[in-house]
Amino acid sequence: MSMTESQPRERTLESPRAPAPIIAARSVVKSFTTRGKESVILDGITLDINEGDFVTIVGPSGCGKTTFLQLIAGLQPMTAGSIAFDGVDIVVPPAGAVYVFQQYGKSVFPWRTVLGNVCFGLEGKGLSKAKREGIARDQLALVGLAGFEHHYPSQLSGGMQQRLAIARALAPGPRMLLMDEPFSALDALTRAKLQKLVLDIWQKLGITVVFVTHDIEEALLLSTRVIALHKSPANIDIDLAIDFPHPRNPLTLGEDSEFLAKRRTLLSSIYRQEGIEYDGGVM
Amino acid sequence: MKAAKKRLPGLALIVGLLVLWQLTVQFNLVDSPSVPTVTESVDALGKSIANGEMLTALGETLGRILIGYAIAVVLAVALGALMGTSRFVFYLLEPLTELLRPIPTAAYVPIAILLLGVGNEMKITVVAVACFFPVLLNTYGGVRSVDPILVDTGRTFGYKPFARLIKIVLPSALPEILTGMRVALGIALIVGIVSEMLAGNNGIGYLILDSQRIFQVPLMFAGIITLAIVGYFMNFIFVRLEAYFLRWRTAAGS
Ligand SMILES: Nc1ncnc2c1ncn2[C@@H]1O[C@H](COP(=O)(O)OP(=O)(O)O)[C@@H](O)[C@H]1O
Ligand SMILES: [Mg+2]
Repeated sequence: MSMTESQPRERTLESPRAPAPIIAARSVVKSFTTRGKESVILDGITLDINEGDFVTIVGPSGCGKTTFLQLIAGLQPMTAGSIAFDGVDIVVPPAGAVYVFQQYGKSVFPWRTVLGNVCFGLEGKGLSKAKREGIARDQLALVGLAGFEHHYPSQLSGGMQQRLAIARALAPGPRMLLMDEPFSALDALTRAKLQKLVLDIWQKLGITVVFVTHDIEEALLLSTRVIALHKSPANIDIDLAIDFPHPRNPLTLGEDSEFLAKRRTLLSSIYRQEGIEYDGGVM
Repeated sequence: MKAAKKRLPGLALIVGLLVLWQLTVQFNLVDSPSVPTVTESVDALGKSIANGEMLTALGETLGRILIGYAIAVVLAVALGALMGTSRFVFYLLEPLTELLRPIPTAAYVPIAILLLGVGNEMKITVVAVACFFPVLLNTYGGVRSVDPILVDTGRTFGYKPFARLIKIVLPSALPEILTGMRVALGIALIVGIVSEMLAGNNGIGYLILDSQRIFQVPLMFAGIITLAIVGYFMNFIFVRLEAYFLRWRTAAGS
């Protein structure tokens, strides 16, 4: 067989699989009007996110990370531009994408048990109660909450409430999770455990994750791609591919020279904008 | 055991006051001949229960109260949910409710008699109107204070507005709704009895007033004792139901 024959065949095999982005944001503008004064928060962001990626958005606080994530979730209307989820423009929260709130304590339903909370996203879909509870139990086992089915959220620690929120988000089998600073309110050890949990889940399920954090090391540990936003108004400042092999070990990764170089690049973007300067510059 | 011990002084006080009542009347320390002893009152209560008079009256009273109460709760929760979720409906109706609410409910009775006569319809309506406002106010208060993050959680899981109302907004507002319902239950008893005293010829309110008019004072006291017992048990049952529906609030530890 000659090279000339095999090449077109390869291409025809490739092209149907050529990954269409799961998220295609085009010139997304978001502005808020407070007391008659309009302020532009997002300044025409254009961005593709590929299916299966773990994309983390970092940036100075107040730059619009939450706002952008909520636009992808369909939880807020945008001022101009468009975001397509799987080729369909987002106007209402799209089925297949679940948003995990930063304030997990306010997002779990206090009147439902742990099991009842996880069942929430499975109701109204024609599944029997036994089926729903079976799925919910599997998700609880996945996040390490087996045995807490009949507890109420008020009986759980912060870290366990966040695990519950993740199990609930996973139950309907979404293709994409949108997580807004999910671990920012947790202590360092709990955060480390949940970082590993999210990484394991992402690898196991192959879903797309769009993650927001202000913790650069967390971003580098978890992501396949990190996007740093600049502020007032926000747009993409840095777009970095992160290709450290999996499984990633935070202990050794933190000493890797490439890790340190990327950390410096991302931190300097944020430091520059926040006006934090050291002798000899920030670079 | 411990809870029972804490209740002992309160029970002792009640028994003590009953003994005091009994003795002061028995030894003519109270001048009025129109105050019967405890034993005479209890005796009258026993007789009125035996001949069916008291239970018939109680049934008439409770039936009207509970129907009026149920109508009020259903309408007030529905309208309160609407006022709590729609800014337009809220600003449309809030001034009107604030104007009507302070009117003492007894003042509705003459209007209701004019429009509906002196029968069941009038009394049920008056009870319903009186119970309506506390439930309405608490419902829209509770609905308005539902955390938007809970509602957005419903949205990200694809819940439409009506499903969010049923699965998120009302359960979240349930503590406030139940508070309104508890207040309304007390009002229902008062207003039901007052409406019977003002019009008609049955129910415990009428029995009390009628026995006072014809100087059957022990029977009058029997009616009052019945009301005390009924009021106590209505509240007792309500508190138990409330604790059951809000058990997630008291769940602590593991
Ligand atoms: N509902 C709103 N009304 C007015 N301004 C808002 C609203 N939500 C967010 N903002 C403003 O938009 C900017 C970005 O907010 P946010 O997306 O929460 O930032 P981040 O998540 O990056 O910290 C902030 O300046 C904030 O004050
Ligand atoms: Mg934020």
